[in-house]
Amino acid sequence: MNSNQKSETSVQGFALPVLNQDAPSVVPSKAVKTQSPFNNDYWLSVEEKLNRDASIDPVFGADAEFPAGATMLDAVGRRDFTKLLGASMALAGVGLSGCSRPPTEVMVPYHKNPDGVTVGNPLHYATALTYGGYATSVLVKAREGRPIKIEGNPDHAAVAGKIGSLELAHLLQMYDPNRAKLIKERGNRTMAKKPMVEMITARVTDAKDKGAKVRFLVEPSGSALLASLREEIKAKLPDAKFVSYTPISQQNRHEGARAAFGLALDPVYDFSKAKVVLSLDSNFLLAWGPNLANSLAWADARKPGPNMSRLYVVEPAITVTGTMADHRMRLRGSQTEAFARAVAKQLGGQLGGITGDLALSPEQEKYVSALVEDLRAAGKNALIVAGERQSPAVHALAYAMNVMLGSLGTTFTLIAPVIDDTATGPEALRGLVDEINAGAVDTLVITAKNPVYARYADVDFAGALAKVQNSYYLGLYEDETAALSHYFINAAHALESWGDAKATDGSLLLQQPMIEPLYQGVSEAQFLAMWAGRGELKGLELLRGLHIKTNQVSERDFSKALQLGFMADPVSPVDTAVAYDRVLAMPQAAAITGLELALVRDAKVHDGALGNSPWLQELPDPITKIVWDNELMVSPKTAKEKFGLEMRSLMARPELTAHVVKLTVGGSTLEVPLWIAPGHADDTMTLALGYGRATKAEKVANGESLNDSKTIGVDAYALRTSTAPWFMNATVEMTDKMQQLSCTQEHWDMHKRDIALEANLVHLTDGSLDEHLEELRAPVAKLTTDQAKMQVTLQNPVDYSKVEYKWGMAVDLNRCTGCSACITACQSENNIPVVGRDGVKRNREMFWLRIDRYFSSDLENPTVITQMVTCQQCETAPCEYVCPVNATVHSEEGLNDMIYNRCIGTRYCSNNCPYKVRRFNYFNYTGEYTSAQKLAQNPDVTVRARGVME
Amino acid sequence: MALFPRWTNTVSKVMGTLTLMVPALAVGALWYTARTPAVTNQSIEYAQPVQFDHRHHSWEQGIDCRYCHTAVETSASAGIPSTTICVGCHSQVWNKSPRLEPVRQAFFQEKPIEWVKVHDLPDFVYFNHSAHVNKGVGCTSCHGRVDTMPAIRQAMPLTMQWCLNCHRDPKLNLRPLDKVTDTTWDADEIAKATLIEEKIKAGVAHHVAVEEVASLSGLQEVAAEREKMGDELVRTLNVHPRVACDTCHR
Repeated sequence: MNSNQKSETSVQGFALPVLNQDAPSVVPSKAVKTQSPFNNDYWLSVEEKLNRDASIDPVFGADAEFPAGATMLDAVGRRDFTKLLGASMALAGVGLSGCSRPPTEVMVPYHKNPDGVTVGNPLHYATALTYGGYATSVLVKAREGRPIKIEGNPDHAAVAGKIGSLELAHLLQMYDPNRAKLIKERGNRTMAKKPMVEMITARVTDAKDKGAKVRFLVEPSGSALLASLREEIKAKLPDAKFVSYTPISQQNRHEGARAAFGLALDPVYDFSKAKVVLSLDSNFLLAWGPNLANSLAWADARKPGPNMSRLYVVEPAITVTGTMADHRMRLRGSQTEAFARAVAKQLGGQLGGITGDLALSPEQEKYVSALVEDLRAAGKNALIVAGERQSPAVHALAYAMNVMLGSLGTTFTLIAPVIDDTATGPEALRGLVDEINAGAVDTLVITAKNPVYARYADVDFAGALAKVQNSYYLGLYEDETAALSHYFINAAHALESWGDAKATDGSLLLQQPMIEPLYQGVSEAQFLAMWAGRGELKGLELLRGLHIKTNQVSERDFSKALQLGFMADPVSPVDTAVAYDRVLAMPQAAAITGLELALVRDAKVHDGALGNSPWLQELPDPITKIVWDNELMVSPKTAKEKFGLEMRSLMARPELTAHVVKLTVGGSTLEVPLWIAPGHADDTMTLALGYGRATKAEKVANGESLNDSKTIGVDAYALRTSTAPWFMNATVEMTDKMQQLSCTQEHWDMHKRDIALEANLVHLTDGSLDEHLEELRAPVAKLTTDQAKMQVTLQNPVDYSKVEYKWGMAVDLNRCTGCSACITACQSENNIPVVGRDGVKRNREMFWLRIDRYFSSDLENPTVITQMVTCQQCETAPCEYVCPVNATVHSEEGLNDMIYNRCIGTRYCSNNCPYKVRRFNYFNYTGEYTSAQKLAQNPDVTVRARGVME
Repeated sequence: MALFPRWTNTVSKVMGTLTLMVPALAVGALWYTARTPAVTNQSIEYAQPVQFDHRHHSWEQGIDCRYCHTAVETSASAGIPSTTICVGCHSQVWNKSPRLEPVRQAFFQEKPIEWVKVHDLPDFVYFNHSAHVNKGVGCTSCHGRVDTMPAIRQAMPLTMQWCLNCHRDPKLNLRPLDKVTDTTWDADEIAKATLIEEKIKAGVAHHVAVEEVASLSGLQEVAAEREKMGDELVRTLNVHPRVACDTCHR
């Protein structure tokens, strides 16, 4: 009893990654750490692993004193450099530019101080950001009327104050200098807003009189306001039709529910109650709307102890969710259905009669039996989640298995679909294109995000768009779709408009603007109101019209909802039963033989709509750590067998040069850099969507801003067909070309210091973890007090008697999924600039915090842990005593701080930092910000100039 | 005949001295110049878009600083009054004055008035008004007798040294919180009055007490009394100013 209690307490709140691999029977996975849980066999890259296995000391990368390229000076030799130095000194002296008086500044007060605004203090407003129809409730921090940071809304239960990189990046998008500022007619003539409104009103009247066919291509949406406007338009123009389209559609999820329950539904998961979770190719911790709610609840269930949940993941390429798995199986995407059927078969019950091709390898069979036993034991605490790439049959099976295990009502509930129109997939777009080609459409109104780019190769939307007599496109950028539309109307950003949207838990969020539209843009609601023949209306007028006039919400409740960010109405779950016979009758998708190509939602730019965000482009991919590019991922074995790539050739790579391969799907060909991805399934390749933009306006997305005459990644949409949107057969061919990729995986190497630790649950209870920690602490423990004082610090200890508190921050690494939202949040809060692809190549990325991703064990099937490394604000900071100018010093509160205006840029602090978190401004990265970009900077943090360390 | 004549000794001595002195003087001169009011921008009277006179508003009318500088107690910025604050009174009084024409124009055109910044700290200095006024630092301690200025000028050097002098030992610059915006508050007068009162209480006649306080030893007593008052304020207001760099630079 006593010992039990002790072990209970000792496992509470442990902050290192803990695996829960004590499955009922041994799961045949090489990744199970049977011997020692604490191997220091961590490797950051394939090259490091290969070199280590061959006992080769690498001449580059990890062990080099300076990162590659750190000291290179392009195009300027030493002599030229000295000349320039002399000349600039002379000029500075002659011109006395350093001795001038700062210019006189002016202070501009408000004309009338807005209510609630205290100059200098921020205000937080709740609003909603929507992606693919699913909205997230956020708080926006605004200073004197300009939004400077997006945070999670702590009042909204689904997100509980959490936020992802995607939502954070919306801030920069609003201030994007590439945003469209004008209304354009046929690509060049600008048009004022008033004639545009009049033109639309005239067209509506005309269409009504003549019965013209108007089609609307819109983003999927759960917005009550947009729904009411759609109804209004349909009432006015009975022939009008709305088509919802998004490239990463959740239609299969809805179709699966339709098969299982008879109607389209959206699941709301509660991972906190799940004890055994099976992910069928579902990246539920990062992709799709509810990822924030999922992550939070999932982490709650991972508290080390007897109730810790166990995660099984079956997927082709390692995702953020895959890194968290206790038992991960590499499986081709198209085989997932066979796997799901096999699991259903073994679970038996009403699904015992399932048929189809269930052929699995003996190893997979063993995995399935262990998994099924575990699922059965968990019963109503089991949860099976299917991914957006999987067929409706897999979704239906997942739903049916969940219901059979009794988990409906425990680990998940079902709600009416969040989006109004669930037909958002390729058929929707194909139907529209067919109609246009048949000449049945004379006016096309597009508010969907860039459908000309986010397309299917076999659905010629661009061709069809050119055939329409009148086309109107409402967009943030003059992108590929704008180029083919007759009229382009610049849209207002989500942070500039009134509206509403539905969150993934079905609650209605209100969206309010933080700022007047910077470029007089029009919101989607305002635009649709014009098509309802109502002319130009104010966004607030529309929103109040719906909720206060029509829906009879009281003023008080409306204000309250605006303040909270959401309407308080509870969402009732749908009570329904599974029609097992329908699930059993679902046809199995034909298996793909030969080499398979799996397209995937990008972990950073998703479908590409936020591709113009420098923050997202420079964010290292959570797994590959590649920036500013997408790449073709294959397993080491496939690289060898299908591409003839010898692993040894990787070891001698001077820099991250990747072989370029020619990829052919149907008639389309792409040249893609090849990336060896440990943990990838064999005979399959993964390529992310959202790159290779051909847009003229978006200078970040198309690579123009990098000035290296290369595009950013390749356009995977070119290979995507409506019949095979995710998994397809592909042929490959090696080319002679090589391409350098920018990748941060070997940057800021910890030189084999044992700072990454992980354990298995059993090691927490049997005392072996404590033993190991003792071992690690031994060298310090051996020191006598005097020795410790002398050796541990050169500095005077901080006197805490004068301050009331000490600072501290703990990161529970067991909860960390490596999603990288913290990196973007840090950039937003601390005005951290991006350095571009070439800068990252030279180790010049400016992130104050990074996430180290370590592989361990087998090259083909490794386990992965992530470790967030921030500035530790060391109490006895090694950076401080090497700074010659005292630019980095201690505060009275015991924190290590940086005083930028003192820094002369010796970089000594960086060299002495044991955590490698010091960054240097090699260039004046912030110098070329446009006036709009300057507004995005946090006024409470210095914007650093060239030559300053941070 | 020596190679060098005797007078060259003098030359070399003079040259040697000059070699040492010229750089030292140059450095000293720069050091001194940097602290002169001319370089610290003290006492320059800028032409403002509106010839606003603090003497009239603050001194003659006795309007509290916070009536216009509304944010001073709650924000880093003291807040430059919005045009509506001016018009709040001047729609009633002096509403036809030609001097107020720019204000009326700004108000009716809804365009803000652009005031010239007089107290301009470098951009890497993060000064917080609320932290100071809530800890008993009076407006006049940094801004001088604004109520006697026809046009606002910078009364104090606002150099880092000047800031640090007070941060290291703030007690002589503190006052009770209700006197923070009182422009005529004088710590010496308060100390003198306290001393005189004490002496009268101890049985000294009024006029003798006044004379005693005015004497040299009396002035030392006043100084001691001020120290005492300061210490008391440091304690009651819980004042512990920071001098680490991160206090103002981040």
